[in-house]
Amino acid sequence: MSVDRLALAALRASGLLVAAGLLFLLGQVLIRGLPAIDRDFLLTGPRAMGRAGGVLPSLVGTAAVGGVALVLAVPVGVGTAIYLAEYAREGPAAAAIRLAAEALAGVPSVVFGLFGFSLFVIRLGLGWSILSGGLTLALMILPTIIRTAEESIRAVPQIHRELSSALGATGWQTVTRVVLPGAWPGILSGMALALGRSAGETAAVMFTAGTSLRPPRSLLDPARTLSVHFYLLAREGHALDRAYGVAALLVLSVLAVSGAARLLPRLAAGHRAVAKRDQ
Amino acid sequence: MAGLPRLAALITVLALGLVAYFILAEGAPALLAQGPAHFLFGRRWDPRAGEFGMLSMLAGTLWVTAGAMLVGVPLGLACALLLSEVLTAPAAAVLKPAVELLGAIPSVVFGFLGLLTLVPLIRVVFGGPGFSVLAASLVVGVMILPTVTLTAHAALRGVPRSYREASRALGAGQWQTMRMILLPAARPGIVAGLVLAAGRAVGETMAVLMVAGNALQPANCPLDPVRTLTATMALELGYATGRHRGALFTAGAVLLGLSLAVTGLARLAGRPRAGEPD
Amino acid sequence: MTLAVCNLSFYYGRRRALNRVSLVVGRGELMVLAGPGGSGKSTLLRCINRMADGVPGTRLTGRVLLDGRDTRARGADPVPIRRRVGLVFAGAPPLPLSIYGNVAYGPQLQGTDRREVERRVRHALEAASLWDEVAGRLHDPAVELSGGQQQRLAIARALAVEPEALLLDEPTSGLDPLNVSRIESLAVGMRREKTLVFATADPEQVARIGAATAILVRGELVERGDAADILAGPRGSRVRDLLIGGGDGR
Repeated sequence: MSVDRLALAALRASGLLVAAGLLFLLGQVLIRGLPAIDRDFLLTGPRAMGRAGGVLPSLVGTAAVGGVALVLAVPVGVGTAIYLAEYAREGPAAAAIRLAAEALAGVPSVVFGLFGFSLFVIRLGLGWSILSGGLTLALMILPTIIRTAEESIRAVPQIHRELSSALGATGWQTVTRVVLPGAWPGILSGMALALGRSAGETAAVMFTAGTSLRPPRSLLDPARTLSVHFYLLAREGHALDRAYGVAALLVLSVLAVSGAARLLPRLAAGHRAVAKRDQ
Repeated sequence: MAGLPRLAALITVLALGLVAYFILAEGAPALLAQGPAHFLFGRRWDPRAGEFGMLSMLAGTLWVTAGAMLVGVPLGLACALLLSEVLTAPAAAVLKPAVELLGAIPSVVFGFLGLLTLVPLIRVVFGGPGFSVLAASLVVGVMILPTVTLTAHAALRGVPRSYREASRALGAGQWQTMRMILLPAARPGIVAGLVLAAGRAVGETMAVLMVAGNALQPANCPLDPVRTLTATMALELGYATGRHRGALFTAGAVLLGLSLAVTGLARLAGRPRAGEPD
Repeated sequence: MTLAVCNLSFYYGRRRALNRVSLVVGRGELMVLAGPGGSGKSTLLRCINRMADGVPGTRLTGRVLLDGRDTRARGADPVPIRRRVGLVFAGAPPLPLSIYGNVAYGPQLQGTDRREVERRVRHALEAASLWDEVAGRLHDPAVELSGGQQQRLAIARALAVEPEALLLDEPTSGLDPLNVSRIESLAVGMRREKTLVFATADPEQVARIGAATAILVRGELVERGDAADILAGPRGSRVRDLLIGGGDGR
């Protein structure tokens, strides 16, 4: 009995340790970082290589790179999920695609950086640019989009598909009119997760989007994303208050994105909950 | 229109193929010029002298991965057991999002805090530079904890309720039930999660780069600085040209190979045994 | 439309759900398909409008003819067949759309223009005697309707496609007597315009509808004839036993 109690105490202590670690991490970043965030910080460009001034170009760059990645990855990811869930079902084709998505999810981000550098920056001549960075990140977030979309597509009740076919819908009409609207909340939350991942990514964007501090004017301009900016500031070790400010921004965006990923499905779940009750 | 999903699926498969092709195509010439054995087992990495032996970096990656597993696995499994067996619903509703949040925080932020808190702490307590295997292991250990916890939690949830009741009815304590019944029953999923966590540790770049010290000498103890494969790539790609760049892509190919092996292993380990719920 | 099923057998894996079923329903006729739960009524109805096709692990032999044309002839597309032969599922929930959206769904699929869709929705809701109850709240979610209303909505939804034949799969199961009699009279009233098949497990319902009846037990047609004949005398009590006892009396 005493071994049992000892073990349980150890488990609880581990849980407390983890929770305390997270609190320490968040506290450290937010307490030291939030004071640095003001209007100037958000709305002006950097001075003295980022040691003073604000982060506006990096905010723009992060949004642009993440936006490009989403725009590219969502159609491919959702399309793949539709294929897996509605067309291929089980079979060698589905197995191969699933394996490819899993493998893609396991590839380290720095390898994506290498790949994007070689293909987009050099071979395709896109240079260090928002487009190169977005393309690279699109590959990275593709597995997240596929997984979340497939799960939510599979969660659409089978009877809705049958009702639709029985009313004379083609397979594609059923997908666009019944399946995708039903799966949309889950797809949105997957997009939020993917956006969070791309905002926090450093290794893959540093070598594809570049490190330029100039505000980007087009998709072919280089951009220094927030996380790359943060890494470079932290490495230099000078302007720690600026670095903490950027860290706080990163953590806040992660919090916002996780919150959105949780809330979005619930907001849209209202009428679906009623639909479920009646089955 | 109905062909679009098929096209998208094809692009997904193609994407993996493209990544593999370009990494290999860029790395192959350097690999062939120097010979695979020399690459993998050469001790010296000196770009200016044209020497590209990866052994010390492979060792560095191994050090950090092993250390991170020592930190992350026990804590991660403890959290999974807490979530599925011990905590009340409200407490679990706090711990689970906390763990998920831990997994979402960017690795540069972990690296930064490690740099500012752990490294000086280690320097003061144990001496040495502070940048070390130990610092990297602690940081990466925390980073892989969510992978361990979330996969193990999912596996534990799949164990039928009746197992717990049968064990408790025989007079087993809660811990005995976990150790003798639940952990073995959930083993395939847990092991698959551990493999994925190890894969994440191998691939982790920025956080390691910031706290491991990046010394090219092999480490002899956990307080020595090390350099991992990923750190080398991130540090040197910016200025590498010619054979040096090729060598970095070869390192990338090794990492890619490791990650593919990890995916395969996790699949094999996670395959549910006959009659078990998915 | 004349609907003919010839020698139809259907298998789920190795289990045979239908065994050489043959029946003909003429234009403007109402056929009651009676059988205990699990006897294969739903499977038969699904086979008729090709809803059972393509499910992995299933196999079908025999033919279903619409006006003499084989529905599974080479190159025949199931979609137009489903538009010609409507199917109302047993106790299915509505689509997660408004009341209007549910009924308009079928016509909209065919690219019907808005005016015509509106006309068809109203017409279908009236035919399903639901219009008076929902006219003021067409754009409310359909799930807010009561069970009986949802079942009539399902019939309206199928009618809005303007099919030539309508298959009703236990359309009154779980409903209160008032809604049951409403739906029964709906079906009887529609028989002039549509080819109708009405599946039920209830011998009293067979008697009330009083139409041509076929009894399906364990995937085989065991009796057929007019309701009054089938249910009369010693033959009638055997049929009642079959329907109530799930065919164990054989």
